[in-house]
Amino acid sequence: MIPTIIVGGIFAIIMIWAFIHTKRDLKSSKCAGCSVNNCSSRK
Amino acid sequence: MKIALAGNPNSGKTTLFNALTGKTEYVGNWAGVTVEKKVAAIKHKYQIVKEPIDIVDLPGAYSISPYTGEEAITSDFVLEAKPDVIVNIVDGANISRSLFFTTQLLELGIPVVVALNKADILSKRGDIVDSQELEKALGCKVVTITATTEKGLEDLVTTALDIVGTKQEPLNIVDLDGNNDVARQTWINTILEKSLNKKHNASRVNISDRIDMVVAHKWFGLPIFFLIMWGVYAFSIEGLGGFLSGYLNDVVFGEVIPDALNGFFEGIGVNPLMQALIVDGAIGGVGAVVGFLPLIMVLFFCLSLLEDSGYMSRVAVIMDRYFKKIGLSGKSIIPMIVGSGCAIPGVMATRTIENENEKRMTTILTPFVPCGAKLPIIALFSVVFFPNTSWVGPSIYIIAIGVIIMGGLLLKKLFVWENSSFFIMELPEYKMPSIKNAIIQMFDKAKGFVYKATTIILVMNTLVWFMQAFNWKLQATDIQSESILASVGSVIAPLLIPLGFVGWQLAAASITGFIAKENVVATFAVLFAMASEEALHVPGGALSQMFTPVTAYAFLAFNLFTPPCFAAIGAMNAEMDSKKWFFRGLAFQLSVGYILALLITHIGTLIIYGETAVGFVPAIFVLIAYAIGVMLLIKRANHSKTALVEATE
Repeated sequence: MIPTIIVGGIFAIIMIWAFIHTKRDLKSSKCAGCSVNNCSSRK
Repeated sequence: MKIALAGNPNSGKTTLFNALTGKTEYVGNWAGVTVEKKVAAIKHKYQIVKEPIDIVDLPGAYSISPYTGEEAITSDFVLEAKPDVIVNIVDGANISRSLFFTTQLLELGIPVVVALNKADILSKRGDIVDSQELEKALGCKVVTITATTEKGLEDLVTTALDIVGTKQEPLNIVDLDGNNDVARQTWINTILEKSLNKKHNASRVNISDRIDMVVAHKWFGLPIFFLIMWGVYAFSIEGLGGFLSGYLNDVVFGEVIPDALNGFFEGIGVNPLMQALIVDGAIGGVGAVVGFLPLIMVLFFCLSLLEDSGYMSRVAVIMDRYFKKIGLSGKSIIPMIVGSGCAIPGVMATRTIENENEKRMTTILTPFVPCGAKLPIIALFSVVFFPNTSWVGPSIYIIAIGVIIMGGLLLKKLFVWENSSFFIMELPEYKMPSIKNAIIQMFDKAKGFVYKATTIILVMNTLVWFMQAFNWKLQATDIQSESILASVGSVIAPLLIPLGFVGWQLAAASITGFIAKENVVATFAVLFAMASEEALHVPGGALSQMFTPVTAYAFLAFNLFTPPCFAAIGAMNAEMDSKKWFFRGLAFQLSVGYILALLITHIGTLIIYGETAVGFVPAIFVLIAYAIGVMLLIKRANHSKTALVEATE
């Protein structure tokens, strides 16, 4: 049980980080597949 | 403190910006690469005062009076934001033309320092510029630099900082009445007679011209372009890139990492469902995409070398004569070449097109060029269904050109178009491409690819895994057909039957592909990790249960030629600035991808297997309905066109 909670906790932290970045990129219409700062299509 | 970099297109502003800031912004050896202003802090090496210095890279402009969208960004910034200093980059290979913009900048009262770039080309040609004479005539400092090798940059920064706070004396051009361009150019030619000792004879046929006679030839140009691209893609997908990707997919992400993680999790007693989520869902999906990283890196390294050499500018000239026939000009090829890296900067590059109709048409057609995100799908289907061949990747690019030309013709018929504009493009001289620049661009692409895999693709994979592992009652299920994903996919699946695609899995993969195209591969990886014992990336692997080689190729075309990812759709919306045109564009892209896949499946199956494919009868109905719809729209467009002509008369 404890190993599952620890592994799950670490995975959850990674997922939260990924989700925050995904949300930010989608919100600013960024593909993020190249130079992270220069492809936002927002005028 | 703000230092603005301003100058003509392709004078080397972004190269200088990257050198001064340490950034890796996209540079290309043609005009119109930069369409937005970029700001970054100067590198520590050049930070010689206490006050923070920001460098602003502006899109190229020929004049302070804007003609295109990106030129307006430059003139707006220079006139309204009032930078502390303007570093005017003058192209050493084209001094006379570059100084036209310089003379306009010198009239704004903002301190200007002229950075005479491409000094290496000047010395190669044997031309000598008398900087002191030029300084005297212009009334501002002139510093000779070579941005590619960072030569003279310290001197440039020091000179720029020295003149901060001073007032630029306006030029005293005799006979300059208002905005008299002829008088301005005459004055420039006069001062260059004194300050430029030209050994180079521009009218003499040089090596660049001789190469152009072959590669930009009326008849040979296009076949040579196809041959070069074939070589690049064969090397990237089937050669070195394919070999390295195969190793990553089969060994690293196929065996080593999953086996190690499974062993570790079983050893410490992690719940099997959690273990499956991490190994099959997260690692399986992300690994399926990251496995293609070497392939992407090799491809972009090669493309970067081609761009830097100056060849891609010739492609624009070659394509101009074909594009003219569909109401576009060679100017539209630049967004399409940029779009082969990523559709978003490609769509944004349409800002360089001043004709509104041409711009809209290019915005709709640019996402048909397969971008980097679509490469993993091409590579996966190529490996599984067409092993040991090199034609799949290049054939997709040939289809893309065909789709763009046919699509352009159809758009021209469907809507009321004006005549296309003339295309004049300055061809840079061929040069030895910079390996350093190609490596920078390659690693930049790799960084972005890994970032994307660990954000949007990871999130989507985990969601896909969850949706295929649980039913609507949120109970874990071993039967995928009872899962949430199956029921969602089943709603869309009937729409794919006319294309010969049967199975909710294919619908699910296509839907996730709209979030980011790599998700098509990742979704298959997650689905087949649970449902099949066979590996995904091997010839005749798990995917062959779902397709014949013909329907596999059709599915590939469907995913590549339907609307691009969400982010690129957002870019289309932003650039079109018209909801009506935006939705027209999306509907057009969707219909093109759909009909293309339908034709490939049914014609291909009939020719290759001598029988009809699944969904043949619905496909006939769809085709008839589509043909009637297109004819009605053309009739309506003709009616509007006639009404417009009558109104004009």
